[in-house]
Amino acid sequence: MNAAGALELERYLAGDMPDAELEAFLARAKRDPHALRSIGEALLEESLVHECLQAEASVRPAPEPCREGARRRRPETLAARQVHRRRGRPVGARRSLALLPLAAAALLAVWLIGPGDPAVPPADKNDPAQLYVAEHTGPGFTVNGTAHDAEALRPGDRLDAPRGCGLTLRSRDGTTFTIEGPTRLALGRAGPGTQLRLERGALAAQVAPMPKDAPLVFRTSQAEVTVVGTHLDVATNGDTTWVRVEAGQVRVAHPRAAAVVLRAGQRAAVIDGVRTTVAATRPRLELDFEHPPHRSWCQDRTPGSTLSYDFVEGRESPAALRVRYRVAPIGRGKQWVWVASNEWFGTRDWSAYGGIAFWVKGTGNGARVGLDLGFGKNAGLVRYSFSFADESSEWRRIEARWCDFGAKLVPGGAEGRGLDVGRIDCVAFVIGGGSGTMLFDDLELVP
Amino acid sequence: VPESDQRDRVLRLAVEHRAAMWAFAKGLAKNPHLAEDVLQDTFVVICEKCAQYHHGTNFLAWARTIIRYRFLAAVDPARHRLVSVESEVLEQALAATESDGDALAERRDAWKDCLDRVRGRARKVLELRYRDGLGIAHLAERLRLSRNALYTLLSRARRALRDCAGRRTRMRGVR
Repeated sequence: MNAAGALELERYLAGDMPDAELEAFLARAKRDPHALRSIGEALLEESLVHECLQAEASVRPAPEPCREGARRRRPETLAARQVHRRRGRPVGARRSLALLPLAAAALLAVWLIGPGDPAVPPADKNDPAQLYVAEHTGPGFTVNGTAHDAEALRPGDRLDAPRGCGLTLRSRDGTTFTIEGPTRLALGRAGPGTQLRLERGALAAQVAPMPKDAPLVFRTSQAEVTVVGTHLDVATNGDTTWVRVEAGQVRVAHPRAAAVVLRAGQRAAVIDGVRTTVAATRPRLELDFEHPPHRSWCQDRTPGSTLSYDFVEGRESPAALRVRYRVAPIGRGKQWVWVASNEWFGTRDWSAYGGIAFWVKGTGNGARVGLDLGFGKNAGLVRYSFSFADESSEWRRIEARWCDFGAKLVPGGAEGRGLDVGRIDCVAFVIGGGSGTMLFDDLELVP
Repeated sequence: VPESDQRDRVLRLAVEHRAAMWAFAKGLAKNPHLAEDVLQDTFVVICEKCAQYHHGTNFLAWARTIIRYRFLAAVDPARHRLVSVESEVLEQALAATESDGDALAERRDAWKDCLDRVRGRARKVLELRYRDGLGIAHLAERLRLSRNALYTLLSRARRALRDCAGRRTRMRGVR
């Protein structure tokens, strides 16, 4: 292949071709077996390089996430990021999550992406949202290109913190931004409807509650992050923007995809302006059996079996679901008893999580016990089940990934669609034999 | 075949063909991060739909179909036609380079050995692009190169690796 051909191939591999040129390139390649082979070989070579480098990275000790100064300021955040390094489970978005510490630690430089908000009012010292520099460590920072020694920042200022510089910006309403250089930030309008443009680097924010009609808005080259009052991290490297929400809610949007709302314990990556992936960062307790709505369950059994349920003291908690059962040993087909969540359950979206965990205490009689997840209604109800054996009379924690659930009831028309964890309508515990007592407690969703 | 055996077999195939699947995902997505993301979604779908795969049929073709749908779900509908055309071309391109598992494993070993020997800017550009997933604009700025110079550097780095791996494979053949 000549130099021009090699250059064109590289541009294609990098996605650096307008659609019209791409179409022509593909049409040419389709007719030319030599060109097809070159594309295939190049992609396979990229894949091998990627694989070898990933393998190398996974056996090296984890790099220090940040400088000493930065660790002092945000130990819990950085430690938490280390915990979310890739674990090798096949769950979507994990790659993006694994890169979050990378982005935060490396704080990569990007092109300046345009001017800040031009329509900004003058500084107002009485404005509760007016930002000022509360703490500064390391090298000096600049505001609008000149060394800064004043406390107050004015709307429209462009703040540039070099590598090694740590800053805490605070406003009188309690909002705090923690910045580690190299970071460039443009301050838009202050007060209600504050806008900040993160041009490069990363910041952590604790945002005081704000009016719904005038929230704080972060902008990066890919995303717009709207905050009503929360604690979050935002980072960008120019190609991808990462958002992680510790508390409260934020809305993440970019022009070419639907906006998503992130809740506490979730994170999102906006990649190349193509899509936004959302994933959980920590477990969420879903059912504790202690709140009155969690105490109304429906039950069913095959003829000849008996079943009752109530609530007793749980594992380190006041309440757990207790099921007392005797499954008839003989009958037509499989024999079972089950208890299922009632109307209070509603429809729940668990798609940001990778699985479910719960605590169970049985009688150790070896009975098959299943956790069923259902979605759809009436004749369209689809059920998927995860089963385990009652092998212990002690409390133990059972964890199931979504891919551990197998199809149990799939009506016509729903074949091949799989378990839809984005709209779970009920959970049920099913016991398939023997007699005894089983206790269930603390169902939680796990990342 | 019991359900758990079927899943194990299918997942083994998925792991065995991971490199080819990543190559297809990268061909569509262009960005290594996004390719990894699509691939991981694909593994989840494969896990869920393992019962639908019939042994003896072309696993890679089945997996590529899933990858294509996962990617299409994430792109602007206005680009669906172009993505479909591109996926056809990519399937043909990668089919032309398919080899059995042993040959791929041997090739992987050779590339790994050779990658260990790459130093300097070539190593840097490979790491930034394929390990850290940097986009081209960012990479060019980071290395203070024009785009064309960056493409030349990437192309040469891969060609050097290809030549090195080719020599090693031939030497192993001679031994």
